[in-house]
Amino acid sequence: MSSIVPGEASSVADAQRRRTYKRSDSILNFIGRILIYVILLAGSIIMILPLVWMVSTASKPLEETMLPVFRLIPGKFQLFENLNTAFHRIPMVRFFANSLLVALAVTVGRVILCAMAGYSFAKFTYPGRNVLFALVLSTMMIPFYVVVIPLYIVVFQLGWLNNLAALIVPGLVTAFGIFLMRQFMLGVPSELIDASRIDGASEPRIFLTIVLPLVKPALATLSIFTFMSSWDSYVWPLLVITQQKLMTIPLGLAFFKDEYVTSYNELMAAALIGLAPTFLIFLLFQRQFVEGMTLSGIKG
Amino acid sequence: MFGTRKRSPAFRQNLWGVAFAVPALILLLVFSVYPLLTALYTGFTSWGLQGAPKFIGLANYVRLFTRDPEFIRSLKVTAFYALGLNPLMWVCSLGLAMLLNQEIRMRSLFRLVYFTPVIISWVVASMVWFTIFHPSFGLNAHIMRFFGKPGLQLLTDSKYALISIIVLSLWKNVGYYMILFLAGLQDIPQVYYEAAAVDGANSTQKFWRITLPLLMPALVFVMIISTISSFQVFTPIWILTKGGPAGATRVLPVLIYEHASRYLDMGYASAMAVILFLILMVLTLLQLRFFRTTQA
Repeated sequence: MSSIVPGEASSVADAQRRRTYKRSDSILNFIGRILIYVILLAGSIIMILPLVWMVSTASKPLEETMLPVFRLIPGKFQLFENLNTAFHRIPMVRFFANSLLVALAVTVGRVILCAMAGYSFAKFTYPGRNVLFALVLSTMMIPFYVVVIPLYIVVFQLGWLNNLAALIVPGLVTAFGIFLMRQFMLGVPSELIDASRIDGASEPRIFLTIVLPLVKPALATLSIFTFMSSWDSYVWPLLVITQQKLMTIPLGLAFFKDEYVTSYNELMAAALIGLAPTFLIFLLFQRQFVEGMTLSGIKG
Repeated sequence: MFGTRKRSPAFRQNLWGVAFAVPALILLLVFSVYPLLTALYTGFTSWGLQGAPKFIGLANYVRLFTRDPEFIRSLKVTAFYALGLNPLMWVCSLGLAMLLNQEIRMRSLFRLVYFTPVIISWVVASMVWFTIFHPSFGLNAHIMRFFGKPGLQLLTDSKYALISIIVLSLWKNVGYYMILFLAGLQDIPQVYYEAAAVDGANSTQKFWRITLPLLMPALVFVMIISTISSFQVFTPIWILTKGGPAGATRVLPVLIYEHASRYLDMGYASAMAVILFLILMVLTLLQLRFFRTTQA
């Protein structure tokens, strides 16, 4: 399993070096070591238990979820029936399609627009550039709840309530995205860009064929981070979307929870459906996922 | 005359530079800068989405602090949530990071386990814990039965509701701050510990004299962002309790949402958002100032 924290390579050498210093108090060390494992294991059980509960409950018939004893392994295993029911109780396919459309549009748009702006701030020297960049940075640390009402009013005046545009357009650019892209673009050698200019390449061409390929890791990080935060977004969609046919997955799941409040097996099956894409993306893009989260420092 | 003058290559190049930034800047202007600038003004108006906003001066703020017990209660609930959650979160995430920074078996697996709830969306996590908290069918009931007691009314008793939300929040985010601390711990050069070991320092001394001072930047960062995010909690509360029972979990964001969405009272909701902003700003400045003086 690959590690989710960078900088592991030297750990073996470090361990060896440290071990040589610690021969003297080896018994105390041993007890301490056992204690560490006990604490970590107990903590791990607490962390994993809710997920085990979710899968276990999602696999049970309804009667079994109401038994006065807890059975980890269901007497009758019916995960697939429950998934099927959850899928058809609400227009889950519709929610998936809405979520996918919104998340893809936001991701593609944000990566392109932020890369363009980041390139502009990193590699051009027009007058007023620094003022504009400072303006961008000043919007970066603003808490969501401070701007949510005026933003709602803007979207209302554009006539975008109950319109997927309200979920896409305001998210197309973020100050963090521009900042991230600029930082990476600073590392692109200016000589390379100037050489292409002398060769007669047009500016858009330089951007597309020289600059973008050099910042691929940053593009990947911003894409994964954007996709995930759009996919999980709940508060803003809750404000601007009220029609069921426009709901995204989080809205749909919350709606499902309010409607089928006692069918725990189906509720947990629905939660599993909502969880699956997130987990898949995490497993595929662990590094970009963690990097995006630690860089942004924003957790809803 | 002006338009026909031959442009220099440098000018054309700069024009392209501006052109690259313009689309992003326009969107940012409309959806970030403009809302930010009008946020303050909207707080001085009365507006229900019909007609034009009416300027009413400080009336919203007067109402907030003199005639709205719900708002005062909400401030208290938000403060309790932040105070109950954050110190616990810092201790747990720093402790985990330090344990997982050691040479132990299955370290990567442990890290992954503690990080897993961070991956899960707030909505899904809240749904799962909603069933866990149920007094007769949830894990709550099964655990309490082990002690021979009935399940606790974790979400419907105002004694427990906020604590339940705090437990869920701790579970959900402890792995995130753990990762931030781990990154900070790995920035501390190993030679300091080796030198300390040669000098015969024990692990307590190493923690207070080396780890903690050198971890200060990461610690301040974690403290500030966790405080800011705890004042903006909404999703778990909206899904688990809708602010109830009887307002016991109605934090400020929930109250803002209710006034904006249910009562369509945009001006009043905006005034609350401004107060939230001021609180966050003061807390952030206080934390920065405190750590600057202790470091000096």
